[in-house]
Amino acid sequence: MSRQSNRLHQGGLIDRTREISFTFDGRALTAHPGDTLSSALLANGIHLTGRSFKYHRPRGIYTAGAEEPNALVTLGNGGRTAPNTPATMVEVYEGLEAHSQNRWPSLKFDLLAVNSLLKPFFPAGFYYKTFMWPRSFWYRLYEPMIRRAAGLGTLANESDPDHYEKAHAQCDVLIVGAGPAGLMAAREAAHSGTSVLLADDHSFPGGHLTGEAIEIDGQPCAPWAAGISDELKDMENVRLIQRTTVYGRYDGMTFGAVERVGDHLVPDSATPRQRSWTIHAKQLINATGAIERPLVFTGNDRPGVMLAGAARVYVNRFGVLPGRNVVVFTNNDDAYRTARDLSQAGATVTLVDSRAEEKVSARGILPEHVEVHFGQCISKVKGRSHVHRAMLAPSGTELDCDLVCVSGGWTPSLHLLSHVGHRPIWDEARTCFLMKEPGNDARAAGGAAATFDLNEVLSEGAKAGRAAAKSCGHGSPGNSKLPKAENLPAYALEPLWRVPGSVSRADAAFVDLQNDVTVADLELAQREGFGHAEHAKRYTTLGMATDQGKLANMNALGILAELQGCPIAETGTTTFRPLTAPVAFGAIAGQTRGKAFRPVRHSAMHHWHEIHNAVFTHAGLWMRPYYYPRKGEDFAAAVKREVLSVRSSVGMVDVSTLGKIELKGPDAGVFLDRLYINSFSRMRVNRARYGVMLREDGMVFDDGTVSRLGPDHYFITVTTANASAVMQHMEFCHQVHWPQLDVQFCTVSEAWAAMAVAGPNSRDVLARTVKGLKLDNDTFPFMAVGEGTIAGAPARIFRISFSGELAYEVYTPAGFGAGVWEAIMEAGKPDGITSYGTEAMTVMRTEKGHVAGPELDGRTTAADLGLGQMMSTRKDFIGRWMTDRSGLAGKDRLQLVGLKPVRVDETFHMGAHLVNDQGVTGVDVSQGHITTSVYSPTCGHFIGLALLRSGRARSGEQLYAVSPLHDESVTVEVVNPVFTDPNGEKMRG
Amino acid sequence: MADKPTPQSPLKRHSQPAPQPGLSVEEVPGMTQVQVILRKHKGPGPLEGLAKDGVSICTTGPGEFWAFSEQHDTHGTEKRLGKVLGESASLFDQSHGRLVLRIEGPGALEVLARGTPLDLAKMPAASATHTVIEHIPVLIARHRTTGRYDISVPRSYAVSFIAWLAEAI
Amino acid sequence: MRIPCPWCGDRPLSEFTYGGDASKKRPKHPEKASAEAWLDYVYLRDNPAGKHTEYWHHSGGCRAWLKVTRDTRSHEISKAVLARPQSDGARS
Repeated sequence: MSRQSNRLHQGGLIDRTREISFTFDGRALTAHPGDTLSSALLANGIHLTGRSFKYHRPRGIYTAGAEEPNALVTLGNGGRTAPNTPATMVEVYEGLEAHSQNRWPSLKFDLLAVNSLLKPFFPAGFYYKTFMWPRSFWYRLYEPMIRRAAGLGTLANESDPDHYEKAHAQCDVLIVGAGPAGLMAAREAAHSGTSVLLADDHSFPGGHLTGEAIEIDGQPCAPWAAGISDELKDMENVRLIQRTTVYGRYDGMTFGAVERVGDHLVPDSATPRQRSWTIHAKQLINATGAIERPLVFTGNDRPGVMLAGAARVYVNRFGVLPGRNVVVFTNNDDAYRTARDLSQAGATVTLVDSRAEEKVSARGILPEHVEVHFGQCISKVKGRSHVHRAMLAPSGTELDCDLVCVSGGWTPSLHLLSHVGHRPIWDEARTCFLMKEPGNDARAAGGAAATFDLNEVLSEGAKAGRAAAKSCGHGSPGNSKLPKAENLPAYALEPLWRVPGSVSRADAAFVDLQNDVTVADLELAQREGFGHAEHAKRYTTLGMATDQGKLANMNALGILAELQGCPIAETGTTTFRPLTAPVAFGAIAGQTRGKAFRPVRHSAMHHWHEIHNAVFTHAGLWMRPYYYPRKGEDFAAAVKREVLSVRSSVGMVDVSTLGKIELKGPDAGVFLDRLYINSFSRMRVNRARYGVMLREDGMVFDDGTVSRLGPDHYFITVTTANASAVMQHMEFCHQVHWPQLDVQFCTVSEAWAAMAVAGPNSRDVLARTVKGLKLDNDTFPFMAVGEGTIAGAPARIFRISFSGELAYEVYTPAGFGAGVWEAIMEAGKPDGITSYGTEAMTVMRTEKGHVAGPELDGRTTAADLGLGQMMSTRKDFIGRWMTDRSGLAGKDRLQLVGLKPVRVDETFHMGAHLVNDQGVTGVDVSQGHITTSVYSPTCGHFIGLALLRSGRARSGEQLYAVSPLHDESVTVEVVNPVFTDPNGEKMRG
Repeated sequence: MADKPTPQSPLKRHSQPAPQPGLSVEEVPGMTQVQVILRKHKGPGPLEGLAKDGVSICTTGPGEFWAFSEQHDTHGTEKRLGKVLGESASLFDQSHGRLVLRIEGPGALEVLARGTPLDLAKMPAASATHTVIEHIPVLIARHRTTGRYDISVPRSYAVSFIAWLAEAI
Repeated sequence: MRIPCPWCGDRPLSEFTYGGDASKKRPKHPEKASAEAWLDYVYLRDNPAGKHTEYWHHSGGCRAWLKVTRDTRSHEISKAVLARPQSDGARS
């Protein structure tokens, strides 16, 4: 085979002065800049590009655009492997590597083509009816076998080394498609002063004009389009992005698009491979054109059969002649241009028109020698790996051929008009679905509106641009002169959903090429009661491949309508949903991958924790020290050491992540009274108090500390996990329930670094470093609040205790956090001060029976948790009134208890259920569950907190804690949830 | 008594994005920021005088303002705010809680557009707005000087924000 | 989807948090309201196919709670006002 044997000597928009090398299935080939992979393959005489999904039939290039069903290739290698890429959209660059898919061992000789012979066993829905027996074979053999055979391309198991970007764009008018309608719309809209974004999915503008030999204003249409586009590029209010697919329209006139920035370039680290756009527009002009559909006859999937419109794109845009002995089969006039263009390029062309001669007006554009068979159809083509013969019906004529160009008509591309729920309506006169009522903010122009006459397209585009601009408040300066295109024959289609009568093998007449769905499959669906469009789609998988049935859907609806004997208007369509074409996950992720997937939050002391060997854990977005292992320590040893150090001497933990809210105003106290179960409006200044908040349904929502810093000044802390939820709740209560309250509050979580110093020596340590505040027990008793300085920095100190030890929480403005922490660590050296993490903190609060997140699970009331006595009966507060419900007051409620193992060295799991009888399982035998379980160094054994039915009356009882997930059953005893220092002497001393 | 220490930036030990043609990014250290929330019933007095006195103030929500000052510390800023607002508002110091990054140059808008769908081109000069960039709550203030934006970022997110910004540039 | 915050203008949905049916009002005299009235306020909700007035919190923006009228079928928003009554002249 000689190099580029199908390349014409002249013509096309390619750069013939330069040659590019690329490979396909390892074979070295050449092309020119401007070629797509499909045009380059055809130029080299290669039609066979893949094997079909189910039957592994040889398949060739069918189209010249994004709607390609067959020629899906795998590009690149390693982490850059891109499977299922349509060869028609790949721009060839030097060194491009492409491979065919879904075949083994080779494209020419594919062993799985045996599937073709087994076709009777694989009709639509076969997996509901076959491979059922013996049952055990399903998991062991059938399913793994089917999984291996399924799919087209293969993913690489390597990380994608390319980088992707995300960006937002704003415009008044978004125009999708830079064909004749889109260009005219853009020009008119731009001249009115409105901001325009024009997006087109090819590498240069012109839309279908790039593949036509038509004149506009006396010049060839492709350069005419380039001229308009140049004019637009110079305008400040126009942004033109090529190689961009607008894949979805979402609520609120938001659009998703992906720009293939670097796919056509040799990969390099500076250029993003793709850029994902979120476009915000006021008006949409859908100038996406129409997609040609094939005709349905036996063997219509053979390599060498392609769409008529595509064939002339290869001639006009790429200078490639895909065949020399051509049969054009059509039901409309548009394909006559293909016959003309291919004939003028040197091919022998025979035209087969299903319509009667008197219906046809396009004959005049054909060269004299083109033979036309009127009122005939192709009933079958022959040729396994390439078409070589076409049989006509009813005449019985047989034609030798090496290329069959088919045209069943053009289907307007309505996706973006339909994604937000508008349904297309069948237009009988134009034999297509159209969006009759696209809404106030969208319109179609050109092929997308089933306007096919080029002069009408130009005029319609201009009108749409003016109307869209007007809707944005920009009047048009006046009708500019419309360009004039040469007159072409009208479209004049006669529907032919499938070649009738003598179709010898309905099972080889393909409707959906990519998913191998045939006319026989649709007939089967109808017979089995799945004839409605939505059912037939799922039953046969028609329209569910990566091309989303762009070539198949309309023909399928026509065939189903015929099978059901009802008009197409009644079959309806399936729903269009984003995305209109496959988009790489990398583009959707953009920069947010790996570490950048979501932000992390660090406290002011983070660096200190890092250099002191902290092992971190996630608490929401925060990174918190979990434990600080010393040399040779594992998790358990470190936590044990930390707990014992705090309880025997002193330790410090970073609690900066707590939510902090500051309140001011004369009604601040009253506001807090209405939010918490207990009261704060009458507490003393410079005091702190524990508070519990409920939801309106009576369940505990959050707990924390409320401190009064002045008559009209409060400072509250809430749990880390609920910080934003509580703030939101408070804002709701103030703005909606009680706007008349004179209280102002805001979050100050970030403004304060916070650390808890705990242990019998904590007072002495702080006394060494705190200036301006006396810390003796009389001056600064339990729950006192005061201010001083530490290392020159202001410090607010609260004597509160989560650990149950003598303890102080030290708050300092965050910029001073690291310095204050270090000063306290320095002051604590003589007492062996230890930094401790969240695990030691959890152990200690569990030892003291403090409830935290696991107990506040949204199903527990204050009474359940033993906090019932805190509930005031003298004020309104959120949740008060629903707490009185009888269902929440019963004695058999799940109540907070402590647990310890009867055999001292046994352990149990959080989530284990408590049952009376071992061995009896079932949801209704559960008496409750363990909410927290830890090893307690203080007690020397495992301890737990649990919610147990009527728990408070069952002290001393023995139960089983069972966890079937861990295959565990442990005898436990119900005890007081406060495991150490039950009278709280240590923290009050 | 120890001297009052200097507040530490959350970006200490982290490199800032390298300057690019058409774009500069710098932390503005020590920027005083005060959140002002109006009490009901009373509106504030005239606010224009504050700008001449070294305090910029922008409305950020119903009954809410954000005051910036590069010149004055918290005490000085709150004093000046008190002169104009009297008893009509409560003041909350946010200076330690947020760092300010100044992004300036013709490329500023394009960089920010990578992170926010807001049409920043339509943002009035000398105004500020709260929004979210890649899950990080930020306050964007647009200066009178063209192409200059101050981004106030909560300090715990600072390192993540700078990482995003470096990628976006 | 975008919500037109009356203070900030059109903002993307990601800046907001949903707050439920705005036609439900907390009993004005909570201590006198019956158990049924509370049950209705806390739990019972209509689910119309059509206009629905609901609370949204502009948590990523000005932090105002809004009352938004949205058509549950099309997501078209016909009205958005501040939830807080404006008679106290808080807007400057």
